Amino acid sequence: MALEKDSSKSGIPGFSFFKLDKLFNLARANSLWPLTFGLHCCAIEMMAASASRYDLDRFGAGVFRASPRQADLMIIAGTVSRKMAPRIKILYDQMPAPKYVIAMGGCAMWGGPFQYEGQYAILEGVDRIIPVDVHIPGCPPRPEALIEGILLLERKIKAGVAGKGDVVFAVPESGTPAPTPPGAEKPAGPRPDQNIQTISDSEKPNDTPENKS
Amino acid sequence: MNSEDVKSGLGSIVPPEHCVMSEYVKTGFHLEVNTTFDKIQAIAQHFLSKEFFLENVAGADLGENFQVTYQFNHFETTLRVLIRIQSSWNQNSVPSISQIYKVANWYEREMFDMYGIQIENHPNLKRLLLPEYCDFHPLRKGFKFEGDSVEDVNRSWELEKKAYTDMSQKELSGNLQEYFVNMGPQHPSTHGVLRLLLRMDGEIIKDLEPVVGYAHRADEKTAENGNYLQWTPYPSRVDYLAGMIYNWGYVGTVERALGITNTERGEYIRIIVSELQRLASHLMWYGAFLMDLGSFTPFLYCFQDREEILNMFEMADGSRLTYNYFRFGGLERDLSPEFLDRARKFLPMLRSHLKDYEKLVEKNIIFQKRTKDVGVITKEQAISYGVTGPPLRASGVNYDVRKAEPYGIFNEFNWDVPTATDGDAYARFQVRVQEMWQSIRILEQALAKIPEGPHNNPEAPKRFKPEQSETYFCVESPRGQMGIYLINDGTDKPARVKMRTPCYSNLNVMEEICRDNFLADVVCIMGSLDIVVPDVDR
Amino acid sequence: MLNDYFWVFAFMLIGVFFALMATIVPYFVSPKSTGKYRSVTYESGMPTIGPSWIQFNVLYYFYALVFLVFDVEAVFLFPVALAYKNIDGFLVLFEVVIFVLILSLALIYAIRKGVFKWR
Repeated sequence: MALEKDSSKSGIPGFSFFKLDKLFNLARANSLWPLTFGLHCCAIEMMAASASRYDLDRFGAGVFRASPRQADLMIIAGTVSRKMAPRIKILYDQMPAPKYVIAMGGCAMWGGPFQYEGQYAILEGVDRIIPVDVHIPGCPPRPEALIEGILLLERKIKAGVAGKGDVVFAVPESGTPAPTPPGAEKPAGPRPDQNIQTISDSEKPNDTPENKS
Repeated sequence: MNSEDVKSGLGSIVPPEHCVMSEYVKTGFHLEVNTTFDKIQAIAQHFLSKEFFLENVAGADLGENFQVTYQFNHFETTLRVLIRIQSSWNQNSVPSISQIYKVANWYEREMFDMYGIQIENHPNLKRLLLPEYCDFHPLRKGFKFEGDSVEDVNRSWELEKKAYTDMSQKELSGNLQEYFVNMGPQHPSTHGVLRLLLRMDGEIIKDLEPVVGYAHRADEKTAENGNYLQWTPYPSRVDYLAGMIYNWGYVGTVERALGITNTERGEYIRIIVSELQRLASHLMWYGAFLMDLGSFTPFLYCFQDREEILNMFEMADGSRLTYNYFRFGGLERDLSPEFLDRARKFLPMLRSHLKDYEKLVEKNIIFQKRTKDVGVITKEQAISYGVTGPPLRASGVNYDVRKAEPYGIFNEFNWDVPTATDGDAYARFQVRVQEMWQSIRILEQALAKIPEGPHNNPEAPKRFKPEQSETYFCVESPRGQMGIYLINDGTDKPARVKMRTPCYSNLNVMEEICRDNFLADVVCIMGSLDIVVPDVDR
Repeated sequence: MLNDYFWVFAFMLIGVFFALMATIVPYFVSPKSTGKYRSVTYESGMPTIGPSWIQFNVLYYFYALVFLVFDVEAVFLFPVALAYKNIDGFLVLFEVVIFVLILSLALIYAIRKGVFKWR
C-alpha cells in the first residue's frame, strides 16, 4: 500500500517563497496543535506531559484539538489494534496539510510487547499506514521523552524535512550514530522500504553552542 | 447461607453427586457443579432468584472438547459457585442466558468471537472484539494468523459504509426525527477508544450501544505463548491506572494455585504499593471526570499530586506507569528507606490537598446540579449486570473484595468501606473520595508497622509445572472486582487465562441508565463509572 | 455628506479585500493534502450513518432565535456607547437602560415559557 508521501508540496508546482518558507516553518514548528489521539497507556503519559509538572504549553504545543480539521500534529500514543487502524488512516487524511505524525511508544513504532509471531490483534507499527516523522521509544516513554520527541520534530520542521514520511536519525552531538545493540544480528535501523535522511549539524538551529561565534 | 444450602437449593435441577465442595483456599471456589447445557437456563434462573450475580463466563479449548464455565457469587456472603460444562466441538450450540442475566449478552458474544461457539436465542450474536468481517476464531489452540493487517484499512471503509446504510434504513425506516450519532473511537474525553453508537431524538438519547474492540490487544492469547513468569508485565497494561493492583491479581492467582506464601515484609510492601496505586488512580479519575464536566483546574492539581506518587513508584520499580513489580512469593526488589520517608511526608500533604479539593469541587453548585440524579443504578440492575466497585457501593451494597475475601493482610488494618445510598453520579463521586481517605488511613497504619525482613520468599519457584487445576483469585481494583481465572494443564505454560475485568460489566450498565437522558449526561455518567477501555477489551 | 459615505465605501472595500486575500493567497502558498478520505465528513473516523438532512428538533431553532435577538441588541449597544460618549447628563444612561430592560422582558418571557428546558 503506497504511503502518502510529501504532504508539504505547495499548491502550484515549482512555486515557493524561499525565504518565507523558512518563516512559515518557524511559525509551524513553534505552534504545533496536537490531535487528541491517546489510545492506551501512552495516552496517560501524554496527559502527564501536558499537565502541570511537564508542561507542553511552554513549547507552544499545548492546545490539544479534538477535531482533525483543526490539528496539525497527530501523536499516536498507544497500540493500534485491528479495528482502530482504518480510523487512523481516515483521521490522518482529514487533517489539513502540513501535517506531522509522532509515533509514541513501542506499540506505535513496531508493535511493542504485543508483537509475536502469528499475532492477530494489532498493527505492527503505525508507519505501515501513515508516514511517521518521529518515533519515540519507551513503554511508556517518560513525558521528558515525549518533549524531546516534539523538540526533534520542531528541528525537523525548521530544517524543512518534516511531513514527508522519511525516517530521520537524529545524530547525537558527538556526530556518531547510535550503536548496535549487543546480540543483534543487524544494526538497529529502518526497514528496507523506508528512506533515510540525516539532519546534519549544519541544519541545526542557530543557537547551539558550536554555532555561536 | 453456605454451600450446603446452595447444593440443596439446586437439588431439583442438578443431581447432588454433580456438586462438589471445593477447597476455597486452593481454588477460590466454594462449590463446583458439573452439568450439561440443557440445565444452564434453569440454574441461572435459580441463582437470580437468590440474588447471586454473574461474575464471569469463560470459554476454554480443551482439544477434543470445549468447556464453558459460569461463576456466580453473592454480594452479602461470599459464596462462589462454578458451573462447569464440557461438550464436544461437534455439538457446540450453547443456550443463551442473556435474558436472565443481561451481562451474559457480552460474555456470549465474546465466546462466539474468540472460539466460534454458537449461541442459541441470542438477541444480537455479532463479534465483539474483532471486526465483523474477520473469519477466524483466535483463541482456539494452535491458531496463528497468517494474513496482513494492512489490508483491513482498505476494505473496512466500504464494508462499514454498506453495513451502516443497511442498518439506518432498517432501524430508522421513515422516522425522520431520530438520527444516529457516533460518539466515536476518537473523542476528547480521556477514557480511551470507546465507541458509543447513539440513537438520538433531538438532544435526548433513545438508545445507546457501546461498541468495543478498538483496544483489543490479545492479552489472553499472549499468556498461552510463554510460561507463567513471562506474562507478569501484561496485566499492568490492561488497566494502566491500576498497574500494581493488577500485578497482584495475576501473581496472587498463581500463588493460590501453587500454595506459595509470602513474607511479612513482602505483604506490607504489597499493601503499601497497592493503596498508593489506588490513590493515584482516584486522583487521575478526579481530574479526568472534572475535565469532562468542563473544569480544568482540578486536573492540574490532581496531576501534581499524582506525580509525587509516580516518583515514588519509580523509586520502587523503575517505571512510572506500567509496572512489573510483583513476583511469585514476593516482590522484585525491596523498598528503599527513602521511599518510606517520602511516603510518610506525602500523606499529610495529600490530606490537606484533599480538603482543598473538597472546597473547590464538592460544594460547587454547578457540579452538584450536573451530577445529582444522573445515571441512577439500582441494586437489581447491579445484580443483573454484575456491577462491582464504587458504582455498586454508591447504590447501597456493601461489597468490597478486601473485606469480603481478604487477601494479603488487609484484615489486620482498621478501616471502613464507604457506601452511599442514592446511586447517582454524585454518590459515586462521594464514594471514591471517601475511598481515598480510607486508603490514606490504611497507608498510615501500614507505614507505621512495616517490619524488617526479606521482601520475598526465597523458596518460591520461578519455573514450574503446576498440576491440573482451575483457580480463581480476585482483588479490589479502583474500578471494581478484578479476577483472573487460570486453567493449568500440567505444562509450564498456562492453558487459559481469563481476566474478569470490572469495566466490562460496568460499561454494560450504561445501556440502561443512559436512556432518556441528555447527551451531556452521557459524558458525566461515563466519567462517573470510571471506564478504562483496555480493561474492557483486554 | 457624500464624503462620509465615501469612507463607508472604502471600509467595505477593505473588508472584502481582506476576505478575498485570505482565501486566494493560501491557494498558492500553502501545501495541499492528498488522501482518499480527505473530504469525508468527520465523525470520529467512522462512516456517517443515515442521511444528514433530517428533521431537526424545533427547540434548536428557538435557541438560535433567542441568541440572534440578543446578539443584535449587543451590536446596537456599541454605536450607542460611541455616539453618546460626549453628551453630558444621565438622560442618555436612562434611555439605554430602558432599551436593555425592554429586551430583557423578552428574555424573561422566554424563560417563563420554558424555552430553555428541553421538552
